[in-house]
Amino acid sequence: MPPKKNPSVPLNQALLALTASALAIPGMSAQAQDLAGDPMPSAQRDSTLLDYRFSYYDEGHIAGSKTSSGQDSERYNVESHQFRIATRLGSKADLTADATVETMSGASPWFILPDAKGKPVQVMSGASIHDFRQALQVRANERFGAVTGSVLAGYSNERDYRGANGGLEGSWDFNNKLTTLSGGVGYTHNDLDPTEGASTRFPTRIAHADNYEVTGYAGLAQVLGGETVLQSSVSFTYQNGYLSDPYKMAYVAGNTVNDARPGNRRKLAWITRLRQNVAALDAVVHLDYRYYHDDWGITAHTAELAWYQTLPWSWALVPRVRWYSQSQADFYQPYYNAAQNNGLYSSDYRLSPFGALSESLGVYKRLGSWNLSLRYEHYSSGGAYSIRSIEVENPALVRFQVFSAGIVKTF
Amino acid sequence: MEVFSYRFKAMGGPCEVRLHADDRAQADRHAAVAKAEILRLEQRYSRYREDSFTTLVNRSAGDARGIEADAESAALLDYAQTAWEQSGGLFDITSGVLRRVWDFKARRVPAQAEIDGILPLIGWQRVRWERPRLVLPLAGMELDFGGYVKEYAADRAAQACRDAGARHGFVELAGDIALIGAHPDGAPWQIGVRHPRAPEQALATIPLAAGAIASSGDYERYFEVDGLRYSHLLNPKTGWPVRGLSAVSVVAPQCLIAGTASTIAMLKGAEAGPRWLGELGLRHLCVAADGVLAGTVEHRTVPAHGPLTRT
Repeated sequence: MPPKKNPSVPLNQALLALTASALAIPGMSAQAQDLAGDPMPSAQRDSTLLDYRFSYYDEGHIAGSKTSSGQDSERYNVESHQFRIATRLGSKADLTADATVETMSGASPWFILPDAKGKPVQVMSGASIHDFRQALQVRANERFGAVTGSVLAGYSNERDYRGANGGLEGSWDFNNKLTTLSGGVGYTHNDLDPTEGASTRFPTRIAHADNYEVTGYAGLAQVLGGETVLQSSVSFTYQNGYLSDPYKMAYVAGNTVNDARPGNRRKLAWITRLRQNVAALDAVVHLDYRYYHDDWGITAHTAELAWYQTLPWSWALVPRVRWYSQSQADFYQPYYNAAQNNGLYSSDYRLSPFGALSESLGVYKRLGSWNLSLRYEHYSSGGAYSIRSIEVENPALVRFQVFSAGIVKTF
Repeated sequence: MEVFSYRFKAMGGPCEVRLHADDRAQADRHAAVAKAEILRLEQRYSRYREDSFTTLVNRSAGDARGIEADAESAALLDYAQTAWEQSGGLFDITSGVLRRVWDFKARRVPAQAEIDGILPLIGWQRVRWERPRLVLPLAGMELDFGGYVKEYAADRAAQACRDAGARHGFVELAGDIALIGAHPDGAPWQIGVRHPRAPEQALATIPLAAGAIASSGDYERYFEVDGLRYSHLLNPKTGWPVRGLSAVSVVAPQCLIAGTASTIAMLKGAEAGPRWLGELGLRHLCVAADGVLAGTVEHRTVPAHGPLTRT
């Protein structure tokens, strides 16, 4: 007689055991993806989906106390139109295409000067930037039993930039579909032709450059009981080529020089996501943590909490808060009092030490086969949000808000 | 798209396949696939059929050689073992023999001695299940798959419809429902939940956009003597009907799990049942003996106890 466990009622393990046992029956399917709690439809469930989203990204002005001119300066804004079509191709495949059209305008940080007291003040580029971006990204998935394979390809075009990417991804469900192992590789190539490169106005600005990026990731998702999913993935990215910002400069002992960063970069990111269904409130909690480290010396932490609340009459509300903190790149300084032996210079606020906090609220409403959404996000960065205290804050640390509205039609 | 409905009898109760399809021919095709799957499982696990696996097993009781289970039956036996373990022995597919003393048609309360005579034949712990070999060691023991094959059939039929290309609809077997998918506009189905004291009326409606819902209640088969209700939900350890809850509905990704959980909750009773469902984390709606509703699933009570609909 086989050993039989004594009858017992362990917490939650009961559902896990029943689920594992039920899914072991041939022909039974897991629906763990329903736990994702996404209030918006997806092509997984619907035959065809059309999605349009408009976003307005608006950076707050930089205060006169932080600029070299002593005047407030407007910054960047982006108007973005995104279109998505997702459709099933038979019972085992689906295809998603995303197209984006954006117009960008405004001023951006150029370089930083020390004022009379040595405090860094920002020189802005002037409202000179007007650009237009078009991008297309296509993804095809096909399921072969427990294995899903995906092919990705994309193209992005601006006046001064062209990028093309491709990738392969795969995922494998096992352990009665309670566990999913996934992995992927990607390659991107970028060409840069900066505006007014090597011109009489900007003689030191490069005329052409390129870089490439190779990335790979592996991840594991585990259903823990009927209402909890834990995902964890690690990605590694290698970049090589011209990785500096052709429009930025750095102040070095009375002169300005081109932004100059290393010719390669190795990046590691580890992301862990928890999805917890809160059945009593008909809500899903998303808790994410990301650790990031690169060989330029930046270590960053991101923590995000989102609450997907289903409401009566097909409404849903999603408040979300995200916190971010990073250390600086080794070669970063707001300005340089002496030339550096390694020849590396960057005063870009994105390589400076800082922290950031963003809050957003999304409202979703379904009307028949239409889904409407409105979202607002406010983002603010500064030394105050950083894990470690910061001696000298970069004057260009940004605040922005994003308004977006979307409409989805399913067929 | 139009809605098409197909009703038929199977597994001892009314069945319905309702689905959205482009035309009648497509709907006919999808419904036929669902019906074929349900009839296949009925044929295989009915205890009234001479050629069913259940009959084969029950005929083998007392034969130490036992019988060999096919892959599907073996997986269902594994599931029964898990449910028995996880329910503290309350979900027990050997308890069907109690029907020899509990005759719900004759409406007779058996004597304790009659029940005591049956109890030695009950208990999954007495079964020898060494996959793929199954031995019922005592003559007179029986297995009854009726406690969960109906819900399993709903899952399988819904999956068969999806495999055939159906996207929107549900499969219902006597109140247990597995969704094929939400309405074409993504709206959830509004599922009427039976009023335990007026079973053709709805007590509440529960919106369901994915997964399944199953219900268990003391209204399914019962009789009353001297004001006491004796339901078909029998505790396998005592042999007596359980009292406490009138009805339980559970929402789960699979109808099989929803059905098992609602049955176990009924067997656990008024306090332990809802608490256990809460621990499982499954959304549920419980109706207490006094008719009070409690639970964690979004629902709308139906004030005048309207008709039992699915819309």
